[in-house]
Amino acid sequence: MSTILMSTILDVAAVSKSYGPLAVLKDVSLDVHRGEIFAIIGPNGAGKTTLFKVMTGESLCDGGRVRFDGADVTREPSHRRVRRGMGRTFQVARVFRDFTVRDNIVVAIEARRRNGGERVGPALSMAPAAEVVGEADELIRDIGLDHVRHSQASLLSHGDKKRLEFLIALALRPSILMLDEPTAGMSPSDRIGIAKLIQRIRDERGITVVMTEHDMDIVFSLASRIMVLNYGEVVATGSVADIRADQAVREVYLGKEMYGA
Amino acid sequence: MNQILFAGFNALAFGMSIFLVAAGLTLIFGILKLLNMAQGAFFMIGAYVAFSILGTGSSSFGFFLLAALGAGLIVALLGLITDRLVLTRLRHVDYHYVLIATFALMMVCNGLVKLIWGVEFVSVNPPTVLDEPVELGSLFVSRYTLFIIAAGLVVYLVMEVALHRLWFGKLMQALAADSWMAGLLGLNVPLGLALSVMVSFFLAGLAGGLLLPNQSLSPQLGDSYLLFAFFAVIIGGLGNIRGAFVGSILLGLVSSLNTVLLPDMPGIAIYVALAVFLFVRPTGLFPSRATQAEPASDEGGGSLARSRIGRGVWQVLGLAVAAFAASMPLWANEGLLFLAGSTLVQGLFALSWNILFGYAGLASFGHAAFFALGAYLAGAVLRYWPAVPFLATLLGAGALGAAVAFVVGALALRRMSGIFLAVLTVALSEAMRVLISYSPLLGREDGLVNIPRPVLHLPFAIDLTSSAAYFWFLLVTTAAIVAVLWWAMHGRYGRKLLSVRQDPERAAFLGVNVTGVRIGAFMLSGGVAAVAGALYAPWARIVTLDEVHWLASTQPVLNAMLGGVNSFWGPLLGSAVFTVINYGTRTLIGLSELIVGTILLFIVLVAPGGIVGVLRSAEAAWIRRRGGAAAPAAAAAAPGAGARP
Ligand SMILES: Nc1ncnc2c1ncn2[C@@H]1O[C@H](COP(=O)(O)OP(=O)(O)OP(=O)(O)O)[C@@H](O)[C@H]1O
Ligand SMILES: [Mg+2]
Repeated sequence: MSTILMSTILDVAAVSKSYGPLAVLKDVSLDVHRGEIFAIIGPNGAGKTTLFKVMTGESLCDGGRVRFDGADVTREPSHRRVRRGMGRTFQVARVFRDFTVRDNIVVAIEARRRNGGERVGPALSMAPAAEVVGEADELIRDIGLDHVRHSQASLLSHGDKKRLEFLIALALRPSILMLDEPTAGMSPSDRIGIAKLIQRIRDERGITVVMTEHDMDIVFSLASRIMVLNYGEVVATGSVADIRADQAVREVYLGKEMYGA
Repeated sequence: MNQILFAGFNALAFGMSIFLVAAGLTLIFGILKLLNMAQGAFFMIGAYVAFSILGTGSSSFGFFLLAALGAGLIVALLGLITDRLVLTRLRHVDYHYVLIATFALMMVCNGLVKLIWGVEFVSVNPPTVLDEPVELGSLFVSRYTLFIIAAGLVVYLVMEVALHRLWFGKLMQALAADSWMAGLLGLNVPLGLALSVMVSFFLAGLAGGLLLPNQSLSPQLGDSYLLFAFFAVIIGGLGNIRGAFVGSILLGLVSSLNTVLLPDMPGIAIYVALAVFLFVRPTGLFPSRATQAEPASDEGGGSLARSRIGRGVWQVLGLAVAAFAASMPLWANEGLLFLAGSTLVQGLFALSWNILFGYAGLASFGHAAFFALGAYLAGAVLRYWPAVPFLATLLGAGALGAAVAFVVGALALRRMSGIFLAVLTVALSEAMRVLISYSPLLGREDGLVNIPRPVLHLPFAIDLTSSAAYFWFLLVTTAAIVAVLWWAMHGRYGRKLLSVRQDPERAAFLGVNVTGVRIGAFMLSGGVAAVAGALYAPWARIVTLDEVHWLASTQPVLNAMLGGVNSFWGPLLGSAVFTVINYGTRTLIGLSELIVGTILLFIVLVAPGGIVGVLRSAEAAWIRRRGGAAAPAAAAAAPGAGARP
């Protein structure tokens, strides 16, 4: 932990958000350091997904401020934040269902090149450029989806869909990756696979990760720091050891399996 | 002072009339998230039913009320039938298909009304008691006006109380919030939904009965009311009764101001007000959650799915069709040639619609506005400024179409939901119809006639005045545009559009500016539609207000749906097939709406993938039967297959 350079990449200050009379986020603040894996945990309905939405621009907050990579992005739409280097996955995996696995990655790479002002491909060609396809295939091989490269995405298994969504996000070469419950609904072996993958992309590509997760084993093995959210309020933020020892967190999670760990 | 008061009364009465129609519309939207394009048509049926009960003479007040209630009940019954036959089958389908289905339903209703009651105007007097003015201070107001205001108020209050206080209202609210959850709680969801549909239709019929007097009743009655009701619910916030009420009154005021300040151009201010309002406050006065986002489309897009039949086969077939068409001027008679040329134009028009629908996932229901824009532009230029090169006119038409699309798109597409675009495009075509009917330059109601055909001045002159020459020109131009579009839709631009269509939110997280892409697609679509119109004007040599009528807007929808919206070539195929159908049924004049509406409804319900979809499924089944290993992928690629519950 001491090896992490303490520069802040994502800074959320006193964010609040209500749906009608229901205050879902109340003065939530956090800062994510470059290169760390930051986990947000909390019981169902705590507001984790809502916080994700506010951080990624899917919805805008009522009060407070979001800074990303040195810029105030509080009112920026999602696509702008993505162009600044923010990638995300959804709690329920979302992929382009009618495209093949490869085409899913191809549109992502083409979007990245277009956003970065790079040449997307030869001016008149209809098929994607050879470099684009090459890069897509390399990513697909790297994550182990080779066997379904030409399958239509809607026909994939749940785990493969999650992996594909991951790949789409990676293809954008983000500096930060926001993962909302990356292992939700997966088999235990798939979970371990995804956990390893998250660790690997952080180590190999230096991508900062912000994730929510219900599986405490995964959280404790991956996260450098953890924030606990309950009823839209921050209960505690700290290292794994801090959180395990925290009395308030114990109350939120009374009877949960984290004590067995 | 008196004048202001009088105008105020009229404004209120007009606002209440709008609300009477909007009430059912907003109710059914709030609960089923269904924008019922046919609401105006059922309103009209209500009026005709009440007319059949009452006759043209004056009647007693009680009998009048009874007739209105009777009309409400009969329309409610029609609503039940509609729900069983159409709506229940479309509960889990992409909402665009539901929009198209109710649009088709509107045509069926209009056709039926014409068949049963004829097209003549009839007028009905208010019941004797309401027929005389009352004196309020120094002011004379018709009792009927007061009655309509009272009726609007009563309907509003009853609905507020029923929705918030009664068992039935609570059931409906629960359904509106979350019908899945309501089912878990043991509520009878199908019954609740059917009841809501019936109540909504009852309101439409009742409104028809109540508003019958003092109108000239004709099959056009539904159109104008429907549009104003749409505006009212958009201004109010879709699905909100109070919003519809306030919105209606606002519209009444605006329209009344219009008659006072701009008496020469009745009906313009409402469009301006709507545009301004949407710009300033796109969510409406009382925003509801329903329009803020919607689930990703259920419908299989599949436009990229390649057919298994070799490309060579298609190329040979395409060349054969092109050669056949090119030979037509040599042997076909004038009439047949005209049909063929018009089919080409309609094909291009349908293709432009489907770029928006099949590729960008947005539906326009007023696409005729763009077509007419091009047609009137070309017609006027050819008639009044013959020196302008025709190719420049074509380009100008495209640019004009794109520019108008930009304005409409910028207003309508700032939210994720495509519903605003559906309504705003209807409004656009209606506003254009009104504007053109005021313009002496554009021939008002009579249109532009005797449009000359152009001579092209390339380095050498090409005279297009003969039908044969202009037909060849049409063929070449259409082919060129289609080729460019085909290239664009199958390249990275098409991929980008399709990704936005499949999941706009996911696409936004690729860094794609979804709103921008959608506006761009709408501009392309509007531009191509305008070029189609510009090509058409010198071909038909006459352009009339029929070109802007909503019936003209159904044509590209129908042709694209018929051929198959998930295929690039579908709209062209559909246009050709429709020409044949139309030619075969040409003796059944007056039935055209009924036939067109029925076909469209049938396609949406039975084969939403159109002819191409049916062919693809058949092909997939054939491959499966032969034990082809790749069968599953092919089956899934069959468009629309995923949409059937
Ligand atoms: N669009 C919305 N409108 C109204 N209420 C909402 C909306 N989205 C979420 N909520 C409510 O906000 C609260 C927080 O929801 P959120 O999805 O952020 O929780 P979460 O921590 O992600 O839960 P989970 O662990 O189940 O994913 C819940 O009570 C939820 O019902
Ligand atoms: Mg969540």
